[in-house]
Amino acid sequence: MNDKPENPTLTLHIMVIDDEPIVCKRLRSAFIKAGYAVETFTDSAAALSRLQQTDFDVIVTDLKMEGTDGLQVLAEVRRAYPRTRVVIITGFATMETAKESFHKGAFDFVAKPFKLSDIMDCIRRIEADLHAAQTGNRTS
Amino acid sequence: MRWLPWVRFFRWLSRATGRPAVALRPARRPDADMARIRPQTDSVVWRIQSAVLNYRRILDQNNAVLTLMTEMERTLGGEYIFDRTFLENAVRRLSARVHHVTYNLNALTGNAYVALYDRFQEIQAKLYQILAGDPAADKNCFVIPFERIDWDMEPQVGLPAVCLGELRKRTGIRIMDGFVVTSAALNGLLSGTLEPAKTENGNPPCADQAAGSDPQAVRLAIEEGLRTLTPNAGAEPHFTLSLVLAGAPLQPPQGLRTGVSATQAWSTIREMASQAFSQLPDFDHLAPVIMVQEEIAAPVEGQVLTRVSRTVSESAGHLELMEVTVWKTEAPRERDRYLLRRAHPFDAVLAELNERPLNYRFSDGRGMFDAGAGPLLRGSALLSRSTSAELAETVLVLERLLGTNCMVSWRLLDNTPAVCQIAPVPPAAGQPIPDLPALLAKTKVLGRGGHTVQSGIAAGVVVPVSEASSPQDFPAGAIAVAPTASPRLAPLLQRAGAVLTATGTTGGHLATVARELRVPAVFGMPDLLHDLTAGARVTVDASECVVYEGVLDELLRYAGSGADLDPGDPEYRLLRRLLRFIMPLHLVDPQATDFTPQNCRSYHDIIHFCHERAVNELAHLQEKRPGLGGLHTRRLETGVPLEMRVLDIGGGLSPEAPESPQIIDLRCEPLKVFLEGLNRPEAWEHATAELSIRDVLSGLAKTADTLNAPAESLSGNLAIIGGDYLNLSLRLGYHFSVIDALLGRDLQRNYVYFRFAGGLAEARKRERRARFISQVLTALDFNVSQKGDLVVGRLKLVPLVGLRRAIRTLGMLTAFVRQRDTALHSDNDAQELFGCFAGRFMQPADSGWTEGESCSSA
Repeated sequence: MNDKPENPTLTLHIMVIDDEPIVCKRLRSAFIKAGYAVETFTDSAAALSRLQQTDFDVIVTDLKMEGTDGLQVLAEVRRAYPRTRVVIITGFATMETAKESFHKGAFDFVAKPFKLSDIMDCIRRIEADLHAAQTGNRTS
Repeated sequence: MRWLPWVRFFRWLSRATGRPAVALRPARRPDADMARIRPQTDSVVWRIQSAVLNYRRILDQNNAVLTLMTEMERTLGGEYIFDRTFLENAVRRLSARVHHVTYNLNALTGNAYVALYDRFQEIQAKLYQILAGDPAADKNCFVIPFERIDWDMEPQVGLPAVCLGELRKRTGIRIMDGFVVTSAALNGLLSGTLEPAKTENGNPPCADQAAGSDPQAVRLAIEEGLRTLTPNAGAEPHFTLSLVLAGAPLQPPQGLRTGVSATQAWSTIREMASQAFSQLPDFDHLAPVIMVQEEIAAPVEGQVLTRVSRTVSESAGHLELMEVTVWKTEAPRERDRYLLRRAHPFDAVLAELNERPLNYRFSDGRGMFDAGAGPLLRGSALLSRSTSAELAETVLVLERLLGTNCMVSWRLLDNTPAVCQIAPVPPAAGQPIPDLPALLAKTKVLGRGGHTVQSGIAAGVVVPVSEASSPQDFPAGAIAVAPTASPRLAPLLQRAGAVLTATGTTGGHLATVARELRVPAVFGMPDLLHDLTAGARVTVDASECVVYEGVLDELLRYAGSGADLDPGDPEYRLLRRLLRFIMPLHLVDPQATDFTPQNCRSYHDIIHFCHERAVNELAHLQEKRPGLGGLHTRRLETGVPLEMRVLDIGGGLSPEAPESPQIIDLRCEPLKVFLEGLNRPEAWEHATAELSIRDVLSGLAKTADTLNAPAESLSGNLAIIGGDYLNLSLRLGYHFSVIDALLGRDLQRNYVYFRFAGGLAEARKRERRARFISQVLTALDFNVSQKGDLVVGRLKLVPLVGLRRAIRTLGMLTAFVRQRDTALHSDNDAQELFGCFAGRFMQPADSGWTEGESCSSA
């Protein structure tokens, strides 16, 4: 699954990576409804390849995937795209994986199943965070 | 009287030996008693502790199972984002807990319900089969009639057949009935071999299974199906055949064949099957099936496309509509077309009618200038306004079931539209609606908050409803607004476009119905009744728990883009199938003869069965353990003329309590509350009971029975107590009562069980007293059953204050009810007694007590 951004003028540009198509479908529609631009990927390698072409503000990634898993995605994004915020979503949430995710720089860690409102709150916090960062840069 | 010969024997022995006659029960030496009792005491107390512990484990596990079940069911409503892993984990966790419940019940009852393990294993196996992608239970059926089709069979019969099967169950909706020839049958027809038919436990047997396992059996099953569809057809009946790819829910039916006679049906099905299998490389996954439907001639027929986006006029802007096409059967090319609003009352925004000659006769025999309904003339439209609204209502129900837009063909039978075929029309890939966030931001919000029960978007007029509202009077597609999510509103949901309530839980019955019907629903929306006025047009976004002013076509368009969790998603269908074996509660009545392990058909049945049987076990704890009479127990100073002994199984008494404790030494919350009621002086009737000769004779037999009972079973009034637990067994005169109660911190686990039986008076009077007790219990919200002089009441899922009030009232009732049976000469006496008791002790709740006049006259 690979959707081009439909509206480049929208505020946040979000990438969703999850090997379960249902998660991609539902997050995509929720983010579109909220006015964000979304690209979804069920293959993490394809997602990383896409990252080299376009900047994303937020990456919402599953933890446990075939090939490159969520923690590897997180590490790569933190290394190459430090401005991009990463949210980990997983159906195998443990205290250890949560700790490791935060230790590696995840913005948030959400266990499945989660409410749409939970993930939207998370995205709005990122939006506020990025806005504050931009304002700070301009001020300095 | 069995004891009389023994009396004579002892008298004879006394005379013969010259020694005084010995007592019937020889006295025991205290030291011998202690030596005998102490080890046994430890063992019995340990067993009671173990029983209570097992019971608590059952409660714990039941609560955890119910929480998990609710969580799974809530995900069906679209509030949560989940994946297959969640479903697998949920089934695994549920199964482990239900297994524990089964184990604990058997531990509590000495393996009295071993058969429950078998039912658990069967249901668990079924759930794992579903997770593994195994088709439905009836996989070896050749023919499945629509009336037997439900959601569980979706992988086997396809989504269109499920929708027709579900529609068939709705009142007021007509379909062209039919049956499905399964993929197993089609495969066997072509290959010449069929798997042997087999019946799986808990599922209705297939009518054709007994017919054999060769292709000829398939033919016989199909012919039988055709005969069943048209039992009284005069002329040769005709049928419509269509090929459906089960497993591909959004694929429309293919290869429609109409006008097929019964004699042609067999060869046509073979031909369609042959084409299907030759074109499908992976038919195991896609499972082609053939739907066979009755074909009833009708004067008018047509189609509805449930969603089209049109700009009808500049002023109206872009609208979400449904397109209705209609024609006379004899002139299929002369088609009228209507565009209807998708919200009640389904106004037509466009009507394109064919020109007709002035002498044109419609199918009802009338001309254009003949009088129609009301003051209007017949007019030139083929479809009346009421019929088009009825059609719109039906197709919207269908669209919700299908979870996507669809094309519906229909025929007008007896002036009612009957659904013939359904073809899903998958939405175009969700395109953003650039103005949507801005539009929503500037639209007035009439209500916000609460909890999503079923996600989705609907628009319509606001109609306030209550438990007394009639479903027939509710305008189809309107937005039902209610103060509370009462289960009695469930019938309204068949017609509602959405439902909003000011209070209510997402785990209740109404919530389950809303999810089942996929009606957008929000419960617990604050200020709802104040902010929404009757007749206002609104748009409900149940996913976001928001109500907007007016009909927002952009939002409706977004809803039509397949944004929500719907039956097109494999996870939705998987969850729905799993829930069929988890959620339904088939065993409701613990007194019914079918309340057995063998009849448990879901996990809910198993945990409910275990709970009821565990409560029953504790309620009979003292009867089933006759050795309790010989235990070392402590005499409690109750403050009333009632001797009561206590057995502390942990935390029921203060550590400093003396050998004969007083009420102040009690730590057992339920017993303290019970004694509060028991100690009400006005509850004790001191007048002598009146006795008739019948009462005396009735009592004699009981006296003899009591005297003949083993000494250790006469345990008197014994309270087994823990900190929050009470099992009190009372023998007052000739009646016997049990109170089993838990008053802990976890409100979900608390309960009160009360049982009362017996009496001195004749049977009719005892029964009247039992009826009086039943009335008291019912007024306290107990679930009550009565048989003769036996009354059983259960109270649970009630706030702590309600449970305390119930136990306190039971204390007063215990004092009040003694010897009352002998004075109940008529039913009226029993009614008066209830009035007296209720007036004195039951109102107002927990607000202190007032002295009242004596009830002895009753």
